[in-house]
Amino acid sequence: MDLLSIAFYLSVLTYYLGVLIYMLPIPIYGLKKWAPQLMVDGVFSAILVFSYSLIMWLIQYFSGILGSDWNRYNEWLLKEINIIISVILLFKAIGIGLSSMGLGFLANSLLSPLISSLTYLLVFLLTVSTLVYALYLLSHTLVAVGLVLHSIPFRITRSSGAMLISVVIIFSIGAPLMPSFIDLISNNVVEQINENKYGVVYADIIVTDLVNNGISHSVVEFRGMDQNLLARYLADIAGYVDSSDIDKGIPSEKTYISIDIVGYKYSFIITPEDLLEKKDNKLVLPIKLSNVISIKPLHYMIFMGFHGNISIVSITNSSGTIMVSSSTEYVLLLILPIGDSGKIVLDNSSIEPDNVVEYKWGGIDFKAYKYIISLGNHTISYEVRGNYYSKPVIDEIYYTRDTLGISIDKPVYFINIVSSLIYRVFIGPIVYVSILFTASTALAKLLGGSSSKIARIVVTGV
Amino acid sequence: MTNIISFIQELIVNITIIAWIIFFLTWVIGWAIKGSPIPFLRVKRAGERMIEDAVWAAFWLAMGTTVFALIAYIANTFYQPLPEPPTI
Repeated sequence: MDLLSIAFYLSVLTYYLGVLIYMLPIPIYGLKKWAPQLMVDGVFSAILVFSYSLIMWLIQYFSGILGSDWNRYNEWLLKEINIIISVILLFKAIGIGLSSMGLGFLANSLLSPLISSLTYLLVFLLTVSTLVYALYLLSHTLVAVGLVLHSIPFRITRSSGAMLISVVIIFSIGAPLMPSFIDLISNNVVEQINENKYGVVYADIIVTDLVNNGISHSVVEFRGMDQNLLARYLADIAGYVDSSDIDKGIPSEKTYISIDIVGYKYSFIITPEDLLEKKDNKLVLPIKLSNVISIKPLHYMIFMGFHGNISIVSITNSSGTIMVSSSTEYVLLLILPIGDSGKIVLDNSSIEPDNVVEYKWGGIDFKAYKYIISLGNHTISYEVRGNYYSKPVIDEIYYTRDTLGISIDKPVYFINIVSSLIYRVFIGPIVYVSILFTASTALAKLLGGSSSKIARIVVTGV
Repeated sequence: MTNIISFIQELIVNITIIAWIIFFLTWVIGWAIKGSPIPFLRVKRAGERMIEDAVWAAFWLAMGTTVFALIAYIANTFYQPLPEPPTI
């Protein structure tokens, strides 16, 4: 069906109806005044129908002048959606953490309403975007339908047609500028929320060595993909990090993790979410370093550059014998606090270290003895004398309290996040859409008289 | 639904025919009232108005096709002819 032809013939019909009424022999002025009005209406509608291409071109032209770019709008939309979703997930993880600590009532009363507001916000944002994008995609058809409505005789649907045409024009031109408008009104007014890329989970960490003893006082560090420090925790004497407190927590997505054993770091990439286990009703992240033997707290033996396997013959907490076979040369590190001493016997002959390094870590002085061991099979016995122990001093950085800046004592923080999101994603678009709608009402008046009562109710009354 | 277009076109043709008939009718009635021996000036003025309206309407009726052809011409010179209009 050819909408524009219909519109054109309707306007011709209107014109001739006007002529007909003009020449009726009924001298009542109320009837006669319709006549010139209908004729002018008909001509005007015909002019509009012929300007269909002009209208389409005007939309493109003004979009170009004002710099409306749908790509920019889509980027903004995706970014806001991601921010909202990451905040929802963050709140959910905190809620789960709270519930596991028995503070479930806090989660229900404070976080649930916030999470549902955020969900409604998401629904609203997507609905408005769909509407606006539909207006843009269907602009050709909608303008043609508007022209048909505009041309119907006796002004029955003239105002609706004019309104439809002007809504399409104004929204196609103005809608992609919404991100700029929202930036304008939210600059320096509300804080910019950044997408939380790493998630959070409330789990403990246990660092174990080759023989499944905890590596005491290892320092576990989490870093983001661009090496920004997210969290640092000091394990206790049993190699256990209690990070399931609401102020602590660990990232749940893929991050760099490094285990620092009195100065010697192992770094790798893990996704904590995939590795969590449940032990005694607590979530635990187990990390096993198989080339470390923790002899006793602050006394370690590390195999660096080792490719092979180690089997234990005998082991106590001050000495041991192990059988090692490696396909490459490697370095055996014996790390002891200064003041204690130890020795290594390789294949039944005592060996001297190739290098000895003294350093300070965590406020404690250490001595590291480096032995270079050739490849192949060897039997290594070690003996350690001395029982020095002192708790190292390390600056811890708690993930939730320091990096995310959230503290359950300050619930206003949560509410602030949600209210600034509401301002940017709900109030901003509503204000902008009403601006656009008012503009299209005014344009509709130009095009053929808006149905002022309805427009007035929509714009001011609702 | 091309019946709508042909329906409207038929309607236009019918209205044009009716309009010509009514033109003659009104013109005759107008002159009849104007020339009648009723001594009220208001009646005569009514008749004059009827005649004038009928003649003006007949003029615009005849000019109808010209008016629309003029609009189409202007539109064509200023801009390309109607592009593919959307169809449902």
